[in-house]
Amino acid sequence: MTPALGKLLACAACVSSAYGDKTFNWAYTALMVVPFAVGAVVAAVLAWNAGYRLRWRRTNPMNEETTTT
Amino acid sequence: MSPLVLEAPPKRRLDDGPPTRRHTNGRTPPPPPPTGGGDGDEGQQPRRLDNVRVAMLFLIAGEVMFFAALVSGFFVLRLAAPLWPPPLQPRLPVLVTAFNTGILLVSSLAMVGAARAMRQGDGLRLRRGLIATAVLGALFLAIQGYEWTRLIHYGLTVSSGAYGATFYTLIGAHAAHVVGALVWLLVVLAMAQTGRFLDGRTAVLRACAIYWHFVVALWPVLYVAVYLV
Repeated sequence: MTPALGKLLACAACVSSAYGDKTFNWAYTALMVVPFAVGAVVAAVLAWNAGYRLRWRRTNPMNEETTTT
Repeated sequence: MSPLVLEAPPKRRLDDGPPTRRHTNGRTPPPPPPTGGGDGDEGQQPRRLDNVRVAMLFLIAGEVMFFAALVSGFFVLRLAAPLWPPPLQPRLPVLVTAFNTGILLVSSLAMVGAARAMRQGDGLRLRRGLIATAVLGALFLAIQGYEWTRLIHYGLTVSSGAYGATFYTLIGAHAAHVVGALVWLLVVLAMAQTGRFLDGRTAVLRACAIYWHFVVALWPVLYVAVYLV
């Protein structure tokens, strides 16, 4: 995790630097994020069809039991 | 605290009856093959995500990636340019294209009506809905073609710079998809003329409707990105 964080910081420093990558703009970031977003949507649709559900689970402070809302 | 948890589907019990999943090599014999060609819901409970929807889900995921790459390329060039649109380049026809956007959205409504007629078993309304969808789609393409001829006449061509290249690539890719969807729609219409889709074999029509709605939903995104922003 630490080396990945270091690379991330180095990338951000280079992009935001006055002497860094002047051709960078946020469209590159969008293009990098889209495959993950599309994959996440496909996975979510398949998981929903398989019966998986995201629910807020409320904790009852009286008896430490969890109940779904 | 109320954490967000992912709940797994309930496990099957032994007294729930035979599993609905097909086991071709297991102890449970496979269910009888569906009647009527196998692409309808006849004789069984309708599933939420059937084969048609899964196929279209993956096709549309690929299409979304394709157009996301084109839109990102457009914005990469656009944000890097000091002036956009570049000077001495013709302006895009915003109002006519807004009218054209409305035509495409109405075609999607016509497709919804056709799909509803199919579910109700009304062949006449089904064919009318499909014809209306095809006519509106063809009208959209005709107006697009007229716009393009005017823009080319004013000097905006593919080779006139990044502005023209990105415009014709993005809008042309969408127009090519509309042409493909229109051909598919005409095939569906020809099949509907022979009485297909009222006997439960609806896979071709449902897939075509999903694709048409995708092509229609894509256009406002491109319109805002290319014409308005």
